[in-house]
Amino acid sequence: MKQWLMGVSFLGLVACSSGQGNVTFTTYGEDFIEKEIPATAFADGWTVRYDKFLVKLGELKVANHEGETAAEQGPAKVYDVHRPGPVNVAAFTDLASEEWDEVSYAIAPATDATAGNAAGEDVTRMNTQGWSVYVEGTATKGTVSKRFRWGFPTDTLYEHCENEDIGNGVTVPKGGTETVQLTIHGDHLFFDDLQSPEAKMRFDAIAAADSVGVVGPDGEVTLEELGTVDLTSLPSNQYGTGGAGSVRTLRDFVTALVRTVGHYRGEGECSPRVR
Amino acid sequence: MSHSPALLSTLAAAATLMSLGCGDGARTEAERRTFGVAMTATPPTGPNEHGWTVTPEAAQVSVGAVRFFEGRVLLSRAPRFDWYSLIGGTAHAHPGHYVPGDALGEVLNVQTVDLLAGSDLGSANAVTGSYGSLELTLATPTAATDAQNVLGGHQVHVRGTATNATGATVHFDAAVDLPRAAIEGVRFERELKQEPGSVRIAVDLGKWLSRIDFATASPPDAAGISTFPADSQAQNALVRGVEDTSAYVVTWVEGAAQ
Repeated sequence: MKQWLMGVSFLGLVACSSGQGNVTFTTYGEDFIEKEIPATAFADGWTVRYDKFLVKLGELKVANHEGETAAEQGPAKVYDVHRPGPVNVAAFTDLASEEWDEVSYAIAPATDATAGNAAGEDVTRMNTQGWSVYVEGTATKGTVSKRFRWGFPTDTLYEHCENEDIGNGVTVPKGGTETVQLTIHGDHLFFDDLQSPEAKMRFDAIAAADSVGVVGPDGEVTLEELGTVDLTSLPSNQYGTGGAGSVRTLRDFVTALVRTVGHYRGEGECSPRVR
Repeated sequence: MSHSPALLSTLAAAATLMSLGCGDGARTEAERRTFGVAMTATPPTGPNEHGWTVTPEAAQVSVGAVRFFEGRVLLSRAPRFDWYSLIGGTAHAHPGHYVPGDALGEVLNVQTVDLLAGSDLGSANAVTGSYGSLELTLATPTAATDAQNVLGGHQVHVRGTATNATGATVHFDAAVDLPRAAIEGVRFERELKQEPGSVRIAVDLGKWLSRIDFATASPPDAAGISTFPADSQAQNALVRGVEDTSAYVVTWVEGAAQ
């Protein structure tokens, strides 16, 4: 019996920790950012094409719910997820091959970020302007086109990352490498509700801001113009703010949506914490 | 193949050791409990965003089910099987940036609440656990739930007086029926065990009324009362105020009788 018990104890040890493995993190903008968001995705028939989608990724951490940290990323880097991806963000080697159920990362306005796959001038601009996200593109409906170039200083920590189909965090394989994608969802900037699962993608109100804004209808919708559109001037069944009580204008609204672009392994989610 | 009781005990002990060794031994099972739920209101504390100082004179709401969930606001969590469903509860999950997750408790009464007076909504059938949010359902009132017809068939009724710095005064009487009757994702974060206490939902009337430009209300009727036309800024702003989940401040009141 003693030998048998020793065997069980050994099995227990093996079950809890069985060697080492690697984890590679990538980031990817998917077709919506790399190619286009088609008219069929919008409730009001617009098509959006990004020319640039810069995100400043940092504070990547692999840990567990007991507070043990397996790996942490160094300084933040700037990625242009409009460029073909996925692109590597970090590679952690020789981690204990077990379940690390607390993965987190930040999209934050660090001022000393370096280049991931973004161009040098874009990195400099992101740091100088204090932006964490910058998007540039064109929305088109029929013969009408509206250009946008928006930079955001939002500071968001994405915690408790999980994918419903894969699980919480990441499980490090023994002797192998697990690849984890920090997926950026470019369609979220155009949702018409901050909380409802029935949110639709719209651009009409954003396009109209070009006409009522500061510099008149010049074909470009600026954040300043979006800031002149009070949400109460829009249909009451659109642009609902959920619990985000300080969101009053379309600029506030799009800025709040920027905090939702960070996802995990495709459709997986994290808990975005505003900082 | 048969096993002796001693062997089965040893296996169970070994399995427990293995489980504890993997760091999952701290999880505890939920226990059933109840707690009272009350609803009241806090008045506006200053002029609203359009410079109107509002004095509410009546505020009523038809409250339906109140459901408590594990999911925190802006926390998305995958749905999973929940033993609470075995005792008749419900568990909802859907895609989006707020996912309620497991249901932890509910009050199912439908009643008309006079917010200025405050009212008990009833006792929640619940379980212990990590609470993150609640869902407040606004019900269409019936003769049974609104015998005095203070709501006039609407989910929300508010009456009062608004004045601004120029001396303009608007006596208003307005009603709201939300497009989606459930106000989801109201913040309520607490590790709830068996401690005595109750939940208090305070409606911040300042938030409800904060975005309204009362100049867009209708001209006063013969009785001097203005209403909010369906396509007016005032009605739009009131609907958004009622939908704003930050207008509902949920607190745990320690030690209250259960």
